[in-house]
Amino acid sequence: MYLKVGHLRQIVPSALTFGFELVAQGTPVEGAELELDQIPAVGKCRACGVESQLPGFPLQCRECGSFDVDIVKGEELYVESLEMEE
Amino acid sequence: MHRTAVKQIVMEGVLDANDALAQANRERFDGAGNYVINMMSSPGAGKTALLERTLERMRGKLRLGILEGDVQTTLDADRLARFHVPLVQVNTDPGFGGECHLDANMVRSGLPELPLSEIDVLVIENVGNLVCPAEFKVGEDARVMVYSVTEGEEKPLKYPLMFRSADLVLVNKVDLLEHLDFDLEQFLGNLDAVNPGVERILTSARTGQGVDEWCSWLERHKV
Repeated sequence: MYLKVGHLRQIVPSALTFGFELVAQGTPVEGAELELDQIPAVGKCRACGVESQLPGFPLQCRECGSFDVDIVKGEELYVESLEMEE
Repeated sequence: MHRTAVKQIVMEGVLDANDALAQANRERFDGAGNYVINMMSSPGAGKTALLERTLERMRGKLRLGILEGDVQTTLDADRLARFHVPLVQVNTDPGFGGECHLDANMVRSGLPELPLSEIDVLVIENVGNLVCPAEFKVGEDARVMVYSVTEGEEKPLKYPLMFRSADLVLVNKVDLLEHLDFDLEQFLGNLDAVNPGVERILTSARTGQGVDEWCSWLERHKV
């Protein structure tokens, strides 16, 4: 299972993987693997309009230093695809 | 037997089930004319005490309803029962060991006990926790955080997602400021670093400071 996880979600990859393995046990998908693709946060500055990566909090525009940024990427949390054997 | 791996695109949000229920709750609230607040804080920040002051102040002025969320006990609901407003307690305890937040389905489960058409503002008092409640929409119009000055200046930096998701921050227990080393300016600076310009009101449930301002905020926002 391929999962997209933004950096701004409060997801702990090791805990999620551990939980996934546990719930899969004893079901037809026992042994299934969870592939997490982490998406770095990107913000668009409301002051200067530049988009930049936000490596951590506080979320701050790299160009002008403003804290007033709209989140463009980093809040994702979805199953992108499933790979199965037929 | 020959096996081939087939990749299927799914693109399904992990929280879609919750978000769909939250949207259904929201439509129900909108239909009944409710303004709905998701009230969040750490345990012990003073949510229930502030609600007591609010219910005293707004008696006869604004029809408030309360949905109380707690892991266990009806202690908070018992405290608020004397105000004779529509009130329902939801315990998260039947979940997996007692969940640390309310989700849209738990809120939905409490709604049949509330006369929504007789409520102007419904306050959903979430489980005390600065992490998980931020991830789960319950159908609210606004998120109000209660933060007490005994918790330290740095918490907006440690729990940025919750502070960032707040529409209003009630900075509570300010009557204690003179006894604490808490640096209010530094706290507000940290708050602005994660949620620039977010509305804030300094309150004390004990002395009543700021409660009028908070009540006016409620009256301005009701539908």
